[in-house]
Amino acid sequence: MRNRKLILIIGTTATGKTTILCEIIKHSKQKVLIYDINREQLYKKYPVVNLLKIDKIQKGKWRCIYPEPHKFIDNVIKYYRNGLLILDDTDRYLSSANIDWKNLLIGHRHFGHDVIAVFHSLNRVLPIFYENCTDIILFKTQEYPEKLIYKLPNPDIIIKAYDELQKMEQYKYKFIKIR
Amino acid sequence: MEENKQEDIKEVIDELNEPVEPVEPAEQTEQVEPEPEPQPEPVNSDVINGITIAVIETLDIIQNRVCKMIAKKQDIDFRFTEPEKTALQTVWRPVVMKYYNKISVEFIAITMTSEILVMKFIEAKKIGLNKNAK
Repeated sequence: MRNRKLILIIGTTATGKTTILCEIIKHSKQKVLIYDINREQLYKKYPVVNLLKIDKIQKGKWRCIYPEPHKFIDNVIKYYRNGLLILDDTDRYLSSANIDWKNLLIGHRHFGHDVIAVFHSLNRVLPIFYENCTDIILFKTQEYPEKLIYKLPNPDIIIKAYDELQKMEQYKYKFIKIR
Repeated sequence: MEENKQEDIKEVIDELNEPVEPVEPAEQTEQVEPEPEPQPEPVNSDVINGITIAVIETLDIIQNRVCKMIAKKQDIDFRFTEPEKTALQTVWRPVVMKYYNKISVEFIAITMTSEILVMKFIEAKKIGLNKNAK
């Protein structure tokens, strides 16, 4: 038996984050709940679940489009169990008031969640995500990661990966195991 | 750290599909039915045109600035000004969300202060906004 995962996918626009995410969703054998706040075209094939019926998902791949992130996260914590949770475009609602990130991210193992959260830059990721993440899939970003040295887990490895990616093609990524 | 290979993602997928100790379900076992996806409300065309004009004006400012950098042979080290950020956040995103949902909204993130983003804006303007403004 393995431990539950918190995976961060980080990269600037048009680097292939969504492509990777779609592959993971497509091949997932566990149930999946996508928080599709942007109503991405790529997720249209998955049925929409009402926020109040998250607890009834037994299998399959679903998306929730409820526009208030803190209520979505609250309901996930209360009712979603034993499945994969996809938080796409997390930057967009990262700072929304009242989101209980601490409870979700520290407690995700107890809730039976694997979580994948997508960000546009290393800098935008809140420390609590880094403190609890198990893996990072890093694409190209445009920032100064050396300024984040006290925030990053395994900063040497991440900065090395960042530097190498700058010399590589747009769609390349680095897979970094954190813990 | 691994080199970038397709196998990396296969490894992630395989790991996620490995068995885990289930936790107690929160409640009941009833099946869930899909919900119909709500459609955007119809809006007054004056409002659309007004917002579109505001977006185009913002894009023009950005485009002009990039053109000046190119003309002066400066490196394009693009950073949005505060008014541009405000304009993009308050005007552009809702427009795309409501009326141009075929265009990916991902590139709107203002954290992406790159020339790629600027070019995408310009491209979006050329292919989409003028046509949709009618």
